[in-house]
Amino acid sequence: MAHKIDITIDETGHVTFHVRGQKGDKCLDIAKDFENVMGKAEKKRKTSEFYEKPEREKVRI
Amino acid sequence: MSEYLEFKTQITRKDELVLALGDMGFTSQQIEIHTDPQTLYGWHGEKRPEKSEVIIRRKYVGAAANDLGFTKQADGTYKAIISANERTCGYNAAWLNRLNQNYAAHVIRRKAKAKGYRVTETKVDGKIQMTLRK
Repeated sequence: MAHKIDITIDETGHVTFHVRGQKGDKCLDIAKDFENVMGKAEKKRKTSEFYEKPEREKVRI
Repeated sequence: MSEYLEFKTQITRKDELVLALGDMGFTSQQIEIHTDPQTLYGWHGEKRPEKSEVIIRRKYVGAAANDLGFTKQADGTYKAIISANERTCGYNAAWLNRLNQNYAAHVIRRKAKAKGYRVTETKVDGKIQMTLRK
């Protein structure tokens, strides 16, 4: 599924990282890829989109 | 958005550290990279007790300078070895912060490329803003 990640690195090297357009727990895998190379996240928050079902699951009856 | 993360950059990758030092103005010829930590030297040419895997020799740091080093620690992070003299000559907390910023950008670029993302980036008010698309 197409998605994008918005990243800001401030002047102190502090990184904020938003995964957008990816519903459900797939976004956790995407985040994990980067977490593995950036170190342990200081803050982590699931947003409303995380709790939406992916499109494929929505049409299955 | 679906997940939000915040990281404080910790330098753990030698290749990206070297690239970030390049961004700070050092050439590849000025950056020594060693598998095993090597002795650092002070401004008199005396041996210092510290050893590092990544070293900028004093002649590239400034007049009457000590070597700068980056030493890998037991937890896998690199610690900057910067003498009190150099900390007053521009190699201070702000310099280290900029190094961290450049390092983080290199780590993200490399990971993004490996994962097949298209990367766009801009620098606004000192902040690097990157968008990764797939």
